[in-house]
Amino acid sequence: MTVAPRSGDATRTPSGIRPPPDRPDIPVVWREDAIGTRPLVLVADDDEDIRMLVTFRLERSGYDVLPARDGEEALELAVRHRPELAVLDLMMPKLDGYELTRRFRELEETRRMPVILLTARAQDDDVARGFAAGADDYIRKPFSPQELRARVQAILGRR
Amino acid sequence: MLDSGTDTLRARRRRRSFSRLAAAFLVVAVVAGLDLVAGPARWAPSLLLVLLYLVAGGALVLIARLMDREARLDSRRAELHAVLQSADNGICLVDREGRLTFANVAMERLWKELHLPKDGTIWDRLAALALRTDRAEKLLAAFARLADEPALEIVEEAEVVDAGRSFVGRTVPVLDASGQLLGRVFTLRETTAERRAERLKDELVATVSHELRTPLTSAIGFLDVVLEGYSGPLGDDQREFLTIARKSANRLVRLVDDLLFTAKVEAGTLTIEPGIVRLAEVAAGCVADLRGLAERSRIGLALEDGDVDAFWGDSERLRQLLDNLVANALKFTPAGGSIVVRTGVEAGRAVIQVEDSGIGIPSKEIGLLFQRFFRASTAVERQLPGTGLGLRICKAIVDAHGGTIGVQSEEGLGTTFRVELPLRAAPVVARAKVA
Repeated sequence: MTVAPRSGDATRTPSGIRPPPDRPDIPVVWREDAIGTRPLVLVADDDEDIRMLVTFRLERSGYDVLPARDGEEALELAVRHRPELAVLDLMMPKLDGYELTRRFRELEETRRMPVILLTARAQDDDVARGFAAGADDYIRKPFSPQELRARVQAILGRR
Repeated sequence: MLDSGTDTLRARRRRRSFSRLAAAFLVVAVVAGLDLVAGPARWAPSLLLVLLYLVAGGALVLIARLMDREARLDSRRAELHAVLQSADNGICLVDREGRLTFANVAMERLWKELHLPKDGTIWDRLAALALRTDRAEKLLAAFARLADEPALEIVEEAEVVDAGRSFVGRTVPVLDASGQLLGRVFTLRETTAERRAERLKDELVATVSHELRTPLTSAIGFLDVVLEGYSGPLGDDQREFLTIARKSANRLVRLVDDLLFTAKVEAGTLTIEPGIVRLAEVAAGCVADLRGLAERSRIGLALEDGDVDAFWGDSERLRQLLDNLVANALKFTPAGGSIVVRTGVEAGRAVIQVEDSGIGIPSKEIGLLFQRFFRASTAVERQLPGTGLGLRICKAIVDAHGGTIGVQSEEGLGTTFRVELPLRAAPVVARAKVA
């Protein structure tokens, strides 16, 4: 895992993470010159650990990650880098997941970018609110890596 | 409206003088009588005089008695009055036509605070109040029933929306000794503070569960990363210990889920998402998932699925119900025991039975089983882990489906939970409308 190149130091690089011995097929490190060859996913979460975890799982699944610490940063990065998908935490300072999704839907640059909400509050009305704001899917915390991968693949595969 | 203390005092004095007068008359009558017996002089007029004194004395005794009773009634009335006036709840009395005959201070105050009409019958006031609540239709229907069934007792709770205050209203009939209706008593108890405390508690549970879920997500996530070997190969001990930590984290997640679910049930916001339910499939999925655990605990787990037509319900919740019941059975059945899950149809209802040969539940505790946080003494004594939420959740799921859940148990022999669900057909009309 490496630092995502386009976002400064928004994510901490976990040291000592190596590929599983039985999975040589998983890319270990992607190189600077590989930028742009893998789909770019925006990951916004104010909790650093969760951001790191989602980033780690997505990078292992073959995506580049654009990490953001809060809603405003996510909005700025999304407009600048046009990621192909956004995974957003619901409860974030400044702009929460609902409001951020609504803003994405209003802006020309991000109107068509699919949004997956990552939420610890998976009560029925929270989920309904997320869809009403324009989200495409949601994942409950805690999530399994398989679920994350499957949902991201399903949405990106559709396009 | 009731006699004051001085009145009672004056009445007592009057009563005492009456009694003295009566005694004097009677004494005179007796003396005259003795005189008559001693020397029979002028018989007829003397006899008349004696009789006159006797009658007058007797009448005076009677009057004194009546006054005595009156005084006692007065003081009883004063006591009742004091009790009614000191009550925090609003209390009022109406006659058969609904005209007010009494209202205590608390009731007068509530009427004033809620700006209710000062005149008119109780029905006018209640209707005016009901229309401002969140349950107007239900309340008006209840009042209408009172007109037809005068002996009815009604208890209803509602929130007066514009005032932001909740009340429990109750009415009971006032009957005379022969059962004739004299009127009604109405009481009003404010529950605003209770409702607010409940709301706060629900919000707290939701917030706490969110705050717990986030660190749990990273704990589970990174444990998985390590267990999958991303941070280097693991020794057997390391793998075993991390697996234990991983399992505990999972248990915490389940606990948080259960707490949230229970909070939702208590708040009355549990909804089911209905769809087509194939009960045999739901049961088979549950048994397949828990078979491994049963085998490790050396408990036989069998499924006897009878034919149940597909019906309208929430498959996910019903699966949760079955998982809870079977996991419970596994927990309370010692090694070597057996569990049978049965599905079928009886008397037009879908039936699910989970029968175990476990430790059983003492009969006096069966009524408490479906309350939240209740745990059977047999479970506590054996130090079996649990929160007392599982069966409360089961009951909520069954209730949301309009079904019933019951239990039969014998200590030391086993327990059978039985769920009956109505076989609702899919709402074809509603779907046609959408299409």
